[in-house]
Amino acid sequence: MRSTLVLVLVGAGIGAAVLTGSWALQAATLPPPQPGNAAGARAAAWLLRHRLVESTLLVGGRVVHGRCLQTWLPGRNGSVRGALLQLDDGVTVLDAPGRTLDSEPWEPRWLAAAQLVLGGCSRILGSRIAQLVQHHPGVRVARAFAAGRPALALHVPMPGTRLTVFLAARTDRPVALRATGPRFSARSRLRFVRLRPGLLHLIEGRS
Amino acid sequence: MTEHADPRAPATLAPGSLLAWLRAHAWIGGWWIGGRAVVLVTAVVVGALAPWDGNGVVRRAGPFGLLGAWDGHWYRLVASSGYLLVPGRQSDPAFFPLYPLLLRGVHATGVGYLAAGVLVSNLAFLGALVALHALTRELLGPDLARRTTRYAAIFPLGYSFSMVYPESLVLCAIAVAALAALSGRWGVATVAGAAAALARPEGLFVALPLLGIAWSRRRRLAPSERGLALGAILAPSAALASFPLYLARVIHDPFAWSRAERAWGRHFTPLGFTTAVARLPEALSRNPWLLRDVVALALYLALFVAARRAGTPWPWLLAALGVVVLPAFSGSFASIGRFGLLAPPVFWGLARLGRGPRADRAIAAACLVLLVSATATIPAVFP
Repeated sequence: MRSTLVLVLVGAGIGAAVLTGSWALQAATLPPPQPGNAAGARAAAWLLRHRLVESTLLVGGRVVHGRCLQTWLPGRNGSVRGALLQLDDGVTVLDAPGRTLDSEPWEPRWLAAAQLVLGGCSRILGSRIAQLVQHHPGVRVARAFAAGRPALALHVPMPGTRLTVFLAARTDRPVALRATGPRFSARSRLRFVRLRPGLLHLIEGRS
Repeated sequence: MTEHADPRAPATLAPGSLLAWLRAHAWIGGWWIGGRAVVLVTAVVVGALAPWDGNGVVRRAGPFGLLGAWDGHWYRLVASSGYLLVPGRQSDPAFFPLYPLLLRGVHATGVGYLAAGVLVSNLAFLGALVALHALTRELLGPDLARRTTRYAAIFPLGYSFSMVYPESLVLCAIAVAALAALSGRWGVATVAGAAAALARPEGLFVALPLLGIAWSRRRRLAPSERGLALGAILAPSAALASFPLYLARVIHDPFAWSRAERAWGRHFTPLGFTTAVARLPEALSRNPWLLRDVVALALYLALFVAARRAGTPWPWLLAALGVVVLPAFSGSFASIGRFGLLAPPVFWGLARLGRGPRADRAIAAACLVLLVSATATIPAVFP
C-alpha cells in the first residue's frame, strides 16, 4: 500500500514537473506574437470565415455599392473556387484560377485588381493580410479613425498600390479600406453579411 | 528485454576511458561524415542547378538553402517570431516548439537561423547515431548494432536528418531515453522522453518502450525507483500537454495545433485510415510523389517483421507501428516516409536483412544511390 502511494506520488510529481518545466521553457524562450501581427491574424480570420462582404466604394467622388462572394465559378476543367464581385454600376469582376481577373472589356487590369480588394473580396484580402502577418514579424498598426469610430490602421503591401486596412478597435474586424495608387485613390467601407441560400441564388443568378 | 545485451558492454563511461571510447566509436563519426557529405554536396549541387526553387527561399538563402526549404521555413518563422494562428490557413502552430527553441538559442550566438538549423540537425544526427548504436547493442547485439548505425547514416529518406527539420533531434532523444532507461538512469530518460515529445508528436510513442523496460524490471526496482520510472513514462505525455497550454496562453487557442493541421489537410478521425485509402487514387493523380510515402509505409511494415525476427521487443514494434500507421488516420499518407525515420525498428529490420556480406553490400549501395536521388528531389517535393 505504502509502496503504491510512493510510486503514484513520485510519478505524478515528475509528470507535473515536466509539464510545468516544458511550459515554462516555451514561455521563457519563444517570443509572443507582436500586437500588429496578432491584430492582422484576427482580421484575416474575420475575412476568411465570411463568404459574402458588402461594400460601399468611394472612387473619384463617386459612390458605388458592391457585393463580393466567394463561390464556385465555372473554370476550364470544371468548377473552381473564386471571387465574384458585382458593383451596382453594372461592373462584374471574376477572379478564379485559370480565368484571373475576368472583367469588363474596357476595364484595365489594375483597376479590376483594385476593385476586388476595395470590394472586400474576403479570400483575396484575407490571404494578403495573412501572408503579411505570417511571414513578416514586427507588423505595426497605428491608431486611426475610420467608418466613424476609433480603429487600427494596418498597412498591407500590394504591387503598385498603398493599401491600408482599418480594423475595429476591439474586435480587429476589417471595417474600411483605403487604396492609393499612381492612377487612383479610393476608399471603401466593408460589411460582413451572413450568406443565406436565397441571397446566394440572387447573386449567382445576376452574374 | 535485455536478454540479448552484451554484459561486457559498459553502460556508463568512466572519464579515463574517454579516449578509448572515442577510438572505438570513430567509425560512427566516419559514417556520419560520409553520409552527411553525400547529402550536403547533393543539396548544394541541386540547389545551384534546380530549375525550380521550391518555396522561393531556397536559392536566395545561399548554398545550403535547399536544406531550409519546406517545413524548415516554418520552423525558422517560429524561432524568429513565435506562434501565430490564422484559422483556415496553413499556420505555424502545426510545428512543435523544441526544435525552433534550439534554433533560437543557437541564433542568439550570432548564427543565422538557416545555418543554426543545419548545424543543430546534423549534430543531433551524430548524437542519434551514437545513441542508436549503443541502444541496439544493448537490445540486439553488436553485429546488428554496427549495421543499424551504418544503414541509418545513409538511409535514403535520411536527407531529412540534415534539413531544418527536427527528425534527427527526435531520433536522438528517443534513443537516449531508452538507453538511459535500460541503464536505470530514469532522470535522463525523463528529460530525453520529454524532449522527444516536445519536438514532434511522434515522440510520445517512446513511452511504450520505456513502459516495457520498467515493467521487465519492476521486481528489481525500489518503490521510489518505480516512481521515477513511472515519471519517465509519463514525461512524454506531460511535455506534449504543455504545448496546447502554451498555445492557449500566447494565441488564446489550446486547439491551435489541431486547427493548423486541418489547414494542411490533416484531420484525425477513427476512420481516417479508410479515408486515406479511399482517396489515394485521387491524391496520387494530384501528387504522384505520394507513391513514395505509400511504398515507404509498405516497406516499413515489412521491416518491422524483419526487426521482430531479429528479436526486437514488442513495445518497440508497437511504438513503431504507432509512428508510421497513426499519421494515416489523419486521412493522408503524406510524409509517412519521413515519419518512419523516428522508428528504430526500421533500421533494425534493415540490419537483419543485411546479415550476409553480399546482402550488406547490396543494401549499403542501394541506400547510397537512393540517398543521392532522394536528396535531389527536395526542390520538387517536401519530405
